[in-house]
Amino acid sequence: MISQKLNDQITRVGPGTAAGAVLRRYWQPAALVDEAQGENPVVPVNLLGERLVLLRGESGELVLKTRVTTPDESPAFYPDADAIDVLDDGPTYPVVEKKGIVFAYMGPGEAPEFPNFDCFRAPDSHVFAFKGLWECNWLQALEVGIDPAHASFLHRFLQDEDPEDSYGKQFRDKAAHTDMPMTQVLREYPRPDIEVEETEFGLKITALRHMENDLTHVRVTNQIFPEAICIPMSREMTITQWHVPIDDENCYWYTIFTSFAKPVDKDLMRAQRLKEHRLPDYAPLKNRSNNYHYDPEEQKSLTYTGMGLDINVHDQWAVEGLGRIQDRTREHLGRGDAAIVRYRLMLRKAIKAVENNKEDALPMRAGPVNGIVGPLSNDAIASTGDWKEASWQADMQRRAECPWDASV
Amino acid sequence: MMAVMDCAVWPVTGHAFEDILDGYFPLGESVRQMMARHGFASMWITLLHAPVMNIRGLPPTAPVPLSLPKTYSGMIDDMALVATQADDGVRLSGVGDWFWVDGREETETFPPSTRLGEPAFVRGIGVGGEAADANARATVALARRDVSRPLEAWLEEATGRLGWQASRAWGLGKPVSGIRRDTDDTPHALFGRRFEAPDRAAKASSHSSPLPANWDYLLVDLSADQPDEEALELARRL
Ligand SMILES: [Fe+2]
Repeated sequence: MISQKLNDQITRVGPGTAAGAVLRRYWQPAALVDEAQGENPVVPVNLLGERLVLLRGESGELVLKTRVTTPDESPAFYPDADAIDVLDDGPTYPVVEKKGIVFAYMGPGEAPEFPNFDCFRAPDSHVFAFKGLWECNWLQALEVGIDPAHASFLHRFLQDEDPEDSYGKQFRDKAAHTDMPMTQVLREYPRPDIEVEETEFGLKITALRHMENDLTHVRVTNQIFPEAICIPMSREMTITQWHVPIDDENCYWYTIFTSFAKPVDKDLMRAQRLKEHRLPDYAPLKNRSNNYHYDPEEQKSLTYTGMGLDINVHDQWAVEGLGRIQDRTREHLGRGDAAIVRYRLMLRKAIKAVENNKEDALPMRAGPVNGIVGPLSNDAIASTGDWKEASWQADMQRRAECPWDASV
Repeated sequence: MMAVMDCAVWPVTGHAFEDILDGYFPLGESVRQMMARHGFASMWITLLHAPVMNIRGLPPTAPVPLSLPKTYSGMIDDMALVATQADDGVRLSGVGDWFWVDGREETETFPPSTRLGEPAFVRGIGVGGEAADANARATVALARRDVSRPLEAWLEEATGRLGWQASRAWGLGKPVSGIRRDTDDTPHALFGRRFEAPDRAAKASSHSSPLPANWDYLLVDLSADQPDEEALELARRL
């Protein structure tokens, strides 16, 4: 329970806001490379409360410029290229293409270097990027991603699917090197112990599910400051996901799926996701207007939410259901929300640092970041006394077997 | 009493720790519960950027409110607290900076009945309330200043006497009553300063004297060779 003023401080992101000033100190996903096809792309971009357009600048490189808008435009408004007019006296922001995403730097001074995370290090053949619209504030979208307990409820599957059909989907693989589907682990052990550690990039979040026979399921996920998470998707892939504000009340998730051993089947991954989203604004087909396809019959036998097998829809419903900007005057966090508590502390520290012109105090803004690798992000099952080492070994093995340099 | 009295250092059971103070209860109650969870008799903690609330007319014993209606909301920018067990709960003292968002009249002291607006992450050192087992290596010690000697020399010697290579020491200054605003004349000059033991390390003390009531320095072991790596890591992060 924090006052509206304190909620505004950590949620609002337009020009001149406290949290917006922090986000502007980092590269922001602005568009998918998929959107910027052709010789001279003209792509509308709605980012951090600013109405922009991605196009080629005078010297031929992609830049973000301000576009002319009308007050009645919807937040994710996506006009045709020929209906876009550039506002000549607006700011111009630099962009870079990386692994299927066009990143923009909208802050003052020099843009920071990119850290050497797996998603940036993997060859193009081993990554795939996609995005989707959520109609809510970015912070609540991020906070569901750093709550390791929610998967046991929100993503509870009442039956386990054959893991052979699991390609490209989350939580449907077998857990670690066992025959137990992840869905069963999450369902049967819903109360993880949660350990949170501050790292040079953000937070390392470890969820421990103590099982029978002195075994422990260890799931390591990460918060990458300011607004991304890195989590395991399957034994083969990780998800690095940014929750990028369109404005205060809408955001896009941008994900880079990163594969260790095998190249990503991009056509299959894209087709799976395009079936659930419309173009050109990547709005999900299941949404508030159609009750997220909620089916009470399905809920009796298949999923906790009754909203089908796509866990993205569950998360979308959960975070959009909090309202456009979560009312934190009515919120009760517990110690199980350890990662959320730690994240808000980091965000408030960063807000203070920017206010005091101490940008060096921001994560990944002081000194070289090319040594920041990983992060470790995996599921493992280990003897309870030995989980730390086992979790590390499981990740090292995957990295050692990988054809690209994933060493840490 | 004992030979150690010339240095006035007491190795105690205890350790550096990290934890989360529950939100929504009065601060004093959350602190009491944290001490009970860890079995501490005293502890020193720091907290940063922690939202607080003061709901008008809500008694400290009232249950956690469901929403934040007419209220004063604020933020602890930073605060260092010493909590000690007392017959009627815990006694809290400390220094800090805080503000009230809605312009509440600023007070000189921070009432321990103030409720946290969120759970708050803390780092600190907890003390079990007993002298350390003479045969076990203690990683925390209490000390009482020997005012007749230079402070640094005294803390260096204390570090050696504990059998440690290095320590960090927190000076708690003159005992303050309640939680006071951090002003320039608040005497806590040794906030987390590091001390090396002199080459000629004195023998570790062992004694059974009662613990001091008015300890004013808290020392934690920073020796690289201590057996518990996690304890060292926690101490380093303080
Ligand atoms: Fe989720």
